[in-house]
Formats: sequence, C-alpha cells, structure tokens
Amino acid sequence: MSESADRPPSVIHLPDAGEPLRRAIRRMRWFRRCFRDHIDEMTAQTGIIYELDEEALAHVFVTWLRRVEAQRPEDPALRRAYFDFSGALLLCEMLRTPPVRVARLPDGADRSAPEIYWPEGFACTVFCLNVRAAVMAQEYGEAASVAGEIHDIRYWWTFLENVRTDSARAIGFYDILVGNEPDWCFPTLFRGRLAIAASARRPELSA
Amino acid sequence: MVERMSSSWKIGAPLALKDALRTIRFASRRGRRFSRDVAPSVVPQPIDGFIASAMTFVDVVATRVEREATRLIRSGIGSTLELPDLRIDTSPPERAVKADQFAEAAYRGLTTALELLHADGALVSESAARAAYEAVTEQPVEGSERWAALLLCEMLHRRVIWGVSLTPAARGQERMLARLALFSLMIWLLSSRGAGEAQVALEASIALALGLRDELAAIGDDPERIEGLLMEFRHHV
Repeated sequence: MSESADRPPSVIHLPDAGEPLRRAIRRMRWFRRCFRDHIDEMTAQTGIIYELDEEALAHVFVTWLRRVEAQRPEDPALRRAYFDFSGALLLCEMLRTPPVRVARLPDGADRSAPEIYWPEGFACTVFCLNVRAAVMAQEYGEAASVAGEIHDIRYWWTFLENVRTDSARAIGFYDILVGNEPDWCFPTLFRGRLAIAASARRPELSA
Repeated sequence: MVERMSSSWKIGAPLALKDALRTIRFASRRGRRFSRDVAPSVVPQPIDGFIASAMTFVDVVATRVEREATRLIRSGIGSTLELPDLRIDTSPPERAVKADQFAEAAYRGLTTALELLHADGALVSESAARAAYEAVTEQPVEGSERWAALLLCEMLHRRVIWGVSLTPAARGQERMLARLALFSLMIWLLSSRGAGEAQVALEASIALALGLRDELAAIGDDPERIEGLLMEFRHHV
C-alpha cells in the first residue's frame, strides 16, 4: 500500500441533518438527498453525466441497512471499527446493484483517469469515503485521509476486475483506501476483521 | 347559485359527495384519454372522419365536466391540495387522529404516492379510507405498527385505490402499485420527522416501499409480516 495519503477527492458539503450524521445516514430521506447532491457534484467536477436509478438506490439502502443491523456489536468500544465496516458494506451493496449509470462522458475524456475508466465505481467509492470523512470529523474530530491508490489507475483496474467476480471484494478495496488491513477471506464478517486488526497490532515474538 | 351551495357544503360536507365528484372527474379523464389516444387507432378507416368529430365532441364535454368537478371539489367542499402533516406516534394509536383527519391524509398521501410511483391514473376513495379506519378502530389494538398493518390490509380489502392505469412499460403491476402506495402511506404516518418534512418523508417512504418491493409482493395481506416490516423501517424513513 502506498504511504502517500490525500484528502478524499471531491469532498462535498453534506446536507444539514439536524442530528448526528451516523444516525442521519440510516434515514432514507437524508441518504437519498446526500447521494443525489454527491452525483451532482461529481458531474460538476468531472463533466460526466450520470443517470440515477432511484429504485436501485432504494434497494441498496434497504439491503445495506439490514446487513449493518445484523452484525451491530454491543460493545461501544467497537463502534468506530464498525463504522468503517458499515461504509465498506455500503460500497459493496452499491457495486452489487449500481444506483447510477453513465449517460454521457465528456468529450475527449481520458480513459486513464479513474473517474473516466470506471465512472460508476469511482462515484460510489468517493460517496462512501465522503460520508466516512464527515462522520469521522463529527464523531472523533479527525480529518480522514485516503491512500494514494485512489489516483492510481492500476488500483482501479484490479478493483473492477475483482468486483466483477465477487462484489464482496469491494470491502477489501475500500479498506485499502481508508488504511485498514483487508480481510480477503471473509470480508463480509465484522468479527473476522477484528481478529485481523488484533493480529496486526500484536508484536512479533522473537525466537 | 353554486356559490351559495358551496358555502353550505363546507359545513360537514359528506365524503360521498367528494368521492362522487372525483369519480366523475376520473371517468371523464379516462374518457378523454380513450378518445384521444386509443379510439383513432381502432376505428375502421371509412368512418374515422365521423368518429373523429364525435370524439372531439366527447373530449370537449369531458373537459368541461372535469374542470367543473375539480372546481367544485376544491372550492365547494373545502378540500386542500396540501399534504397534511399527520403522524401516528401515540399510544393507543387509534386515539392519535380522528377518522376524517385520517381519511383526508390518506387521500392526499395516496394520490401523491401514486403520482410518484408513475401511475398514469387512479382513483382514491376517501370514504373507503374512512370506513377502513372505523372498522380497524372498533377494537383496541396493541401497538401502532400492528394497528397500521391492520389498517393497510383493511384498505386493500376495501379497495381504497382502484382503477390504476400504468404506462405501457409497467402494465401488469396495478395491484402491486396499490400495495406499494399503501405501505408508503402507513410508514409515513409512523415516521418521526421535523416540521416541514412531510413531503420529503413521504418521498422517502415511497423509496423504502420500492426497496422492499419483492418482499411486499411475497407477504401479501399477512398483517403480522407487514407489522414486522413497519417496525423494522419506521425509524429509517
């Protein structure tokens, strides 16, 4: 993984929620508005015209919410790790049932730019990163960073190829971007990633 | 004359009158659409000139009927175009609202939902919604989700929504559309929201119903399973 880290691309101002963002994102009305604003912003920044599929977006929300609620840990100490996992699950659902498709690329678009190479994947990934960044800032007062791979076309080649085989692999690719150790074996299990994080922290035993 | 009648209708105007006027308007809209879109393609060529002029006459009459019915509904019986910000979040739920309030909110909510679900036309009966409310409220019910689920099934049973027509691409989904609209209405009534969020919450409720489309189709009229979905999603509108 690259050592360089950037601010998330296309950081947008999320709509006012009137409640903590971690709660607002689990409300359909805020989720829809937030995603629409994000797609408008992506169009403004890249010139790509997207077509929104409202029914697919609704399906993503419902499926994601159920998966998030199903594994929610009781221990408040795990809340932060679980939030990262929730973001990864959201990306996984978005790539399984894409809520946007490209209607038109800008003239002379450079296919080696990630947002042009895979516009739907890029837009959904950046959305999840943006929501994560906003929640991290609100809940923990932290400025979230994103790994340099976000600008690397080779990362996106592999990402797309893997997701075509199995959308659950999106979770590992999301983890790379936010600086977590990916669990490539059981990516959809929260408990599995906790074990991986714990072993990564454990010091090497000398002989 | 009409004006004087109108002012007296505002006091306790019967729902049956509103529904009757809406039915007339609905029928004349359907008639106009038929004469404009369907008839020219099915009438044999030699007499299509005569039919065309007859259809034009039908269209003119139907337009006037529709306009007059709309005027009477809006000005004569004090019906509003606003979506009432009605919520059922108290216990016991049957005391949350009165039957008339519910019927009006159901009418507004369902017509809005049907529009947003791309129904090409449908008739919502406010008096059938009121009757459904009264039937369900006769017995005390434990829990607002249970009550809302029973009410949804009762409204389906009483055909509060009927005559749904869809765009050609969506044909065959008429019954499903009524189910989606009713689920949207009930979860909207149960949702928590801020002032001025009634419309956006209804749109979100419709989105939730769309996200649950397959499940709603599978569970049919089972109030327990509908109650389960309402409990699961009422706080996520």
